[in-house]
Amino acid sequence: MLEQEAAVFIWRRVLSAVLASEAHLDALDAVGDGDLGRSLAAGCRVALERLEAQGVRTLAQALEVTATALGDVAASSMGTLVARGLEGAAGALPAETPLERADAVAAVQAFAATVTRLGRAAVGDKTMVDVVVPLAELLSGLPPDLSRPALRDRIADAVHSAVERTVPLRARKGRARWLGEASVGQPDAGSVAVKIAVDAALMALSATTDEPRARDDPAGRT
Amino acid sequence: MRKLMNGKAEFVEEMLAGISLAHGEVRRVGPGGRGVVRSQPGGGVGVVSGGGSGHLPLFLGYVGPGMLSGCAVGEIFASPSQAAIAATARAVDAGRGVLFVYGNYMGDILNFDAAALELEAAGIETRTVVLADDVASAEEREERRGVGGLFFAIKAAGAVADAGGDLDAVARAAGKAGERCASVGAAWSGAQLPTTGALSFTLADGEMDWGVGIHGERGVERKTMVTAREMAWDMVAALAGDLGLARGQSVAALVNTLGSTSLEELYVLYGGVHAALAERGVGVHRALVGPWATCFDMAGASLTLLTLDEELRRWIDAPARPVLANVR
Repeated sequence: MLEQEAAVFIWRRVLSAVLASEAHLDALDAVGDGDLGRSLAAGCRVALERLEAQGVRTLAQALEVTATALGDVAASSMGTLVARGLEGAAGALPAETPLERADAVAAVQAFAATVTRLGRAAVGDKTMVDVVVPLAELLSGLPPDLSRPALRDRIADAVHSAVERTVPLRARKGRARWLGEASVGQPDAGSVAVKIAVDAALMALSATTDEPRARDDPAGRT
Repeated sequence: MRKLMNGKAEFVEEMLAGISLAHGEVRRVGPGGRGVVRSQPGGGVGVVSGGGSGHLPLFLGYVGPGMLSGCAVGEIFASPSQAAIAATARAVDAGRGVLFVYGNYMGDILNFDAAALELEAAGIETRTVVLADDVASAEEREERRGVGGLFFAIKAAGAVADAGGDLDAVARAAGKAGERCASVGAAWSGAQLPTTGALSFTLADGEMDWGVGIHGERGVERKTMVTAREMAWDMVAALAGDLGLARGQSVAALVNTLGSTSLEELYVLYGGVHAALAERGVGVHRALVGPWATCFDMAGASLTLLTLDEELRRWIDAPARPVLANVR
């Protein structure tokens, strides 16, 4: 179980991590038009400002606010798909009550289903679907009694290998498909962005749940 | 980097600011001023396009009498936001509905569709025509990119809208032009984008990429550079089958620079296109030679052909005064 405020804290860490990866993601996208990092960072920056200004206290609301921010300032295909995916995920979360593990699983599945449907992409097309679909599948198959550290390891490993599997692929969707052979040999930039987000969430999850201070301060701040 | 700019983050904003300072016939609307509309509204059905920046005069350059009522503007090669699209449509709506006409790109489709739902809930009726005219990009028409053919779809829609046609008539005009045109492009250099400062691809001297779009992407095939005459012949041949060009037909021909290829070269190319069409018994009713749908400083050219009938001829010939292009 996770308090809503702790979940919002984790989500803010996710946004900060993507924001901090601007240059890295731009470099990976240099084979394309080199703006993935800048556009996602712009969206995350606005989302963080709005979360603060609006005093958002639930994860569902935080995802909605982020989706709107991405739609407003990062309306690229990737930005728009992520926005729609986050709206889908928000719809799978409880409005008020603390979050159960099943809620998080449902949210990730809703995200994966939305971006796959709207983006009309499949695993192997070298898009973020290559990471979000295996992640959603892993989560739905995990035993409910798995310990938190084991859970984190399984998720981190699965996402890491999923990104690695995009390296030899040739892009088949979006404008990246015109890159042809130039897209082979490096990971899909969108998949890397998802990994950065997931890794940040896992890190922040340890900070909010494993350490004693988390009981006093659900936001995990010191 | 050899690019005249102040910074990549403010590039699009500064371009828009310059356009509105230079051209009082358009004004900016919506969040961040990311919508451009005619300062003197036309009063008929709204014709709205939009897309990423980096293709001038496509898209916003076609705002003006006889063409677009308004245009939503995205970042470089990125869709305009749903909010910008909806604000543009609201600004041009005169109670007779709004046509969306834009290119077949995922980000644009997601954002225009979402804006259409938002407007529908607000009581503004919309129709959508998506252009997919680049024959080299895919066998299946619905998989193709939208490139130079957008000019003809916008021209047809704008002519019908300004003549007082209703929303269905305006949408039919854009759809008909879209279905009856096809494009192909080739490039002999990549594009240097303000976002990266690097060439989007490199070619050895004497090489060219056949089947490029307007985003600095590679073509579908790398070939040896050919003469303008051979290029014209190959381009016409690539479009003829798709359009079902037949003896006695009449077309409008759009010869377009992808950026740095000169008007001189374009007219040399046009001479070849005209001859290649004549050889097939096809006459050119109207030739439009110049920058229509570009990709920064890419060296290259594209050809779009539109097969005409009586009403298309009328729509293409109708007067128009787009803000950043000379149509007559």
